[in-house]
Amino acid sequence: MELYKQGAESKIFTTTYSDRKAIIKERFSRQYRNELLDLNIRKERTKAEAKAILKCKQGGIATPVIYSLDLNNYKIIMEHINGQTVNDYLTNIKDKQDDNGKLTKLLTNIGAIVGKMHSLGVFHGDLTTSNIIKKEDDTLVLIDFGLSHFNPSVEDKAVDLYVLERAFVSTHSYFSQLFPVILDGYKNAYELDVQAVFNQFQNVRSRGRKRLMIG
Amino acid sequence: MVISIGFEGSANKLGIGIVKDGEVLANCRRTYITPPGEGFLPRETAKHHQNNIILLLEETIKTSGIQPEQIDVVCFTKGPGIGSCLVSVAAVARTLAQLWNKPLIPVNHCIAHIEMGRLITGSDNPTVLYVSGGNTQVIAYSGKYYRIFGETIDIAVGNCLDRFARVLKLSNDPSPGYNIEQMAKNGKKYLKLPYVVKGMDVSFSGILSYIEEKAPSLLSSGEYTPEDLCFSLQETIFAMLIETTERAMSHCQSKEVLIVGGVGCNERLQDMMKIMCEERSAILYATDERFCIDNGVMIAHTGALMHNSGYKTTWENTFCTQRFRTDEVEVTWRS
Ligand SMILES: Nc1ncnc2c1ncn2[C@@H]1O[C@H](COP(=O)(O)OP(=O)(O)OP(=O)(O)O)[C@@H](O)[C@H]1O
Ligand SMILES: [Mg+2]
Repeated sequence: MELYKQGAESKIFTTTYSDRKAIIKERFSRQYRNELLDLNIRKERTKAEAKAILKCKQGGIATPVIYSLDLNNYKIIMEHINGQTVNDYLTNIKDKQDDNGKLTKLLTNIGAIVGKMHSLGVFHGDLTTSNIIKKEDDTLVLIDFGLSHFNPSVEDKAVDLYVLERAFVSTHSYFSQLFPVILDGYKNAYELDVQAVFNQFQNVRSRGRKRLMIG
Repeated sequence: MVISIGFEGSANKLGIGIVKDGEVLANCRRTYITPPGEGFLPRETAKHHQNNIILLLEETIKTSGIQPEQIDVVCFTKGPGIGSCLVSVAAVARTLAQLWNKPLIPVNHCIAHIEMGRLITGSDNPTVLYVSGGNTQVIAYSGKYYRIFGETIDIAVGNCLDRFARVLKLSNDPSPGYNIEQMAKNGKKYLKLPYVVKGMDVSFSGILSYIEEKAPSLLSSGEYTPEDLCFSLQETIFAMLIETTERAMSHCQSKEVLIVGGVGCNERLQDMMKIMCEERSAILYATDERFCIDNGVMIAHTGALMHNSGYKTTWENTFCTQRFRTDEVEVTWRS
C-alpha cells in the first residue's frame, strides 16, 4: 500500500483488489479538531460518499466502482481511475487557443455530467475541477462525494455550479471567460427547469457582492 | 524611497501608520470600546474617530520621527466598511493630501490586510484566510487578482463570536473575541453544534441562533459552563475555517497559509491551522495583534505598493464605498 495523494480530508493509497488496480480512500483523524466532531464528520462523509457514488453509477454517470466499504475505519476501497484530474489537465494544457476544439468539448462534457447528476437528484457539494478525473479516452469520472446529499433544492444545484465556477476562475483564470460553455453543456443535459437553476445561480453569485463587509 | 502614511477607520478601530519602503516607522491605534452586552453603532463610532483622529495623527508623526514634508503619499481606506466611519477618516486624509500637495491613494481594506501579512511574515504566495468582525474569506492569488475561493454566506466569524460574547455579557475590552478565547481555554465539555460547510463556503448564522437559544437552559441547569460553550463554539467554527482553507490549498496545490484579520490573532485558531499545515507539510504564517487587528500601517504599505506600480487616480475617484470586494482590485504590484 502506497500513499498516492493527500486530499483535504483524506489519504489516498494505491492497492489491488482481486487483481484489479484500486485505491483506498481513508478519512484519517484530523488532529486539529475536537475528537467528537472529528469522528462524526468522518463517519457522515464516508457514508454520504458511498451512497452517492452508488446512486450515480446506477443512473449511468461515471463514478469509480466501490469494492468495499469499512465504516468503522472510515475507508472506502474503490476502482482506480486511470487519468488525470481536470485541474491538472487544464493547468498543463498546451493548446490555450483551443485550435482543435478539444477544450470546448471537455467543458461541454463537464456541464453535461453535472446536469445529468442533478437530474438524477444528487448534489455534489464540492464540485471543483480536482474532483473530476479525465480518462485517456476523454470520459469524465466524478469523485469525492463526501459533502453530497440527495434531493437537492434549486439553491443546492446553483451552489454546485457556483463552486465549480469559482474553482475554475481561481485556478484557471486564463479560461475563465469560457465558463458559459460549461453552462451550455449543463443546459442540454438537465431535464428539469434549467432557467430556475440559472436564475438562482445568478442570485448566489451576487450574494457575495451584496453583503456588507465591515472590519 | 517612498514614505507613506495610511489612515484606517472602517470599523471601531482608528489607526494611523507610517512606513518607509516596508519598514514600519509608526503604528498607532485607538479602539472604540462599548459596554458589555452592547455592540458599536455607526454614529457613535464615527464620532469617536472624529474626536480622536487629530491627536492620533500628532502621536503618529511624533513616533515616526519624520517631518510631514518627508511624506510622499497619503493613503486611506476606501472600503469596505461603515459609511460614516470611512468618510470621517477619509475627510482628514483628503485635507492633508491637499495641504501637503501629495498624491492621495484609496485602498481596499481587505487587500491591505493581505499585503500587511505578506510583508510582516515574508510569505510569498500563500492561501489566505481572512477572518475578522466583518469578513470571512479564503483567498488565493491568480492572474492579477485575489480570488475569493470560499466565504461566509451569512455573518462573519468575528461577528458570530462577538454576538455570543454579548449573550454571555462578556467585556468588550480589549475585544469580545479575545474574552471568548480566554474563556474557551477553560472549557472542557463539547456541545455538539451544527457544522455548516457548503462547498467552499461556510455559514455561521444557524450555529449562532442554535447556541443562543440553547445557552440559557444549558447554563441554568449546570449541564454546561459558559467556558464550555465558548470552547464548543470556537472548536466548531474554527474547524470549519480550517477545513475550507485546506480544501483551497489542496485544489491550488499551495504549501503556505497566511491568516490575517482580527480573529487571526486567536491562538487556538493559529494552533489548529498549524496542526493542519504540519499534516500536509505546509507552512503557517500568522501575525500578532499589532498587525492582525485593523491598523493604519497596512493601508500605508498597500498604498505605497500601488503608488510604486504607477497607480494614479483623479480627485473625483477618491470617494469611499461600503461595499468593495477583494476580487475587484487589479493587483498591479504582483506578477
Ligand atoms: N478512484 C480514484 N482513482 C484515481 N485517482 C483518484 C481516485 N479517487 C481520488 N483520486 C485522486 O486523489 C485525489 C484526492 O481524492 P478525493 O478528492 O476523493 O479526496 P479528498 O480528500 O476528499 O479531496 P479534496 O481535497 O478535494 O477534499 C483526487 O484529486 C484524485 O487525484
Ligand atoms: Mg477532492
